[in-house]
Amino acid sequence: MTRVGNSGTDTHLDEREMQDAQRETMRAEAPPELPAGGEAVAAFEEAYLLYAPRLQRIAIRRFGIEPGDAEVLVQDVFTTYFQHATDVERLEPYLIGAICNASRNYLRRSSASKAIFCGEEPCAATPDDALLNEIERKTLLSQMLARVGGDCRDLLRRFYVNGDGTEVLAHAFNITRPSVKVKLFKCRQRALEAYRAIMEKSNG
Amino acid sequence: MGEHIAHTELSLFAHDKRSFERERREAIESHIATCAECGATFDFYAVAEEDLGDLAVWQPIIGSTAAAMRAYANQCAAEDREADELLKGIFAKPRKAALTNVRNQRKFHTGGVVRRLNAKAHEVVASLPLDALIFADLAQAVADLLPDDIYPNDAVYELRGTAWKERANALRRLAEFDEALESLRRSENAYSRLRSSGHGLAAVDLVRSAVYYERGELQKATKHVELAEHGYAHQGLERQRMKAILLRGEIAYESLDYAGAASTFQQIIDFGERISDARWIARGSYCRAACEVERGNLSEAVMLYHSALMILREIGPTEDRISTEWGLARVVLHEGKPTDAARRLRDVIAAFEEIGRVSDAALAGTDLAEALLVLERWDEIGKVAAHAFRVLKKAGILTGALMALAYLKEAAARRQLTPGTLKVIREYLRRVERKPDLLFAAPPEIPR
Repeated sequence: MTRVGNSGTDTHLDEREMQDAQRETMRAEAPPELPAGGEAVAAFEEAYLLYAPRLQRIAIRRFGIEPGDAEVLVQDVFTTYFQHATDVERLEPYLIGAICNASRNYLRRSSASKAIFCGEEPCAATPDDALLNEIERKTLLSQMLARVGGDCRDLLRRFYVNGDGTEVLAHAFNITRPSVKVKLFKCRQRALEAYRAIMEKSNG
Repeated sequence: MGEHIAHTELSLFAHDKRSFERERREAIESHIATCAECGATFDFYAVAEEDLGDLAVWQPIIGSTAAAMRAYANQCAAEDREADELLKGIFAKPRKAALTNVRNQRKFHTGGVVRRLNAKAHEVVASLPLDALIFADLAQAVADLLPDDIYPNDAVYELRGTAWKERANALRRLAEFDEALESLRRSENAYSRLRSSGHGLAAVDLVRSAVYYERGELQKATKHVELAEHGYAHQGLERQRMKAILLRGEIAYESLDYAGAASTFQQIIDFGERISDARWIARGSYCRAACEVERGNLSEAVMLYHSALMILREIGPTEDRISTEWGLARVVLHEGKPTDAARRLRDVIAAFEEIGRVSDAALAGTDLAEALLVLERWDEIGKVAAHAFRVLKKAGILTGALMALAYLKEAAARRQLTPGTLKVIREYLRRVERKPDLLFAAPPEIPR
């Protein structure tokens, strides 16, 4: 026996080897087709738009990386991914694993934190479901904020992030204090409508 | 349930429950607990209330970077199209391509050329390792010539790492193990330049493990296959992880841990069943069958071999089918039916020779010799050894295997062959295939 099961064919390194029923025909066959250029680019772009925000938030929330650096890490993940996209069957776990690895490498190199050693399965540094849900929710919220209009965005940001009170907001927006409350309500309602529109779109 | 609650009120309620009178607060809470519509609206406001305070929600995400990524993808796609045209001649005549000085020809200096050469090396490495080495060498030469900033985010190092890795894999197939390990070191260095190396480092560990496995350094092989397995698992690359598990099983088998190997191969069978892929089932089945033979579970082994054979007869590959038939013949031999085993083994040897697997044919010859030894057909053992000798010599395999077969013939002629001697010869033939320089040391039974 040269190998287990008397097999001299070492197939563990190449899935395609397992799929060629006739070794001889390999000489004549063309290589497996990669996605055509245009299709590959479109698929890549779609994947980027879909997953980049989520990956960025994982880097920020799970690893405490600054937003600007997190954005670069996301690009790192995608540039590498594109070089061997055909190897990847399930994109989401691949990308999430990749951003976790990239974040850990970043932290190791920048000495911003002790390396998070990942020796168990599932990796402790892999985001759990609760975090992923939160990230998804906040990504959706970001998309909604892009649809509520500049005035509403400004008002909501001042109110929720800066903590500006109604008096400050009334002054800033040149309206009365009760009108601020009405405006706040209307902006929240707009956000709700945007949310419903996005959900309807995503549900087909 | 009553009337729906106005959005204004729900919005305010989410913002500050305490500003409501207790009675109204209880009424709203009771209503949203039973009214799905108002409940969903309230949930939305409540969650938004909490999340809007998170600065991250307000960070502008992607935009100009999406355009940069698109430009990068378009660049790669255009390079790949050019490379497909450019490399037609090289793929058609690889040996001639080996003489091509790509360093002097700028038209070859693109990432697309490296990607396509890497992919081609990967594709042919099992059947044509020398061609794979030529492609990987060319890929590596071009990758080194590319400017570091040809792609954003240092992605050129992914190409370099992959070129070195493919080179290592081809060298492993050609039994150039030291050089393979050196290529893996370089591959690892290149991948380490990336903040996100994808599954490159896991692939390096897998090939490294395979090299150590071939060299018989099983502890090191185990260490690296586990790293590979973990790396693949971390990124959800299930098929790649299964390749690592398969290798782990092979290592366990070589370590004589037949129970551990059998359980590992069962994982392969389970995986094949889960994804409905007959090839994985076949591979897992005949690997586990080999373990069961060693454990003395012959009926279990027969069942597994037959299960594999049914699949392999239909979809191949041919050598795996022959290997499975070989396994069945060995079971028959273990069951004490040497005549039947000898008949089966002659068929196996002929089938291996027909597809050019002469080393396997010689190995199966030692099993045939064992069957003939039980039958005390000494002359036939000599003929089997002489035949294997001629076949190997004709195939240009001029290693110590010839000496071992000559020894087998002589021992049979003197009627001094024992099962112990056959075991030594068989083990030597297995090892010399991986280590062509290995010398044959005659067992002590026969003075020479």
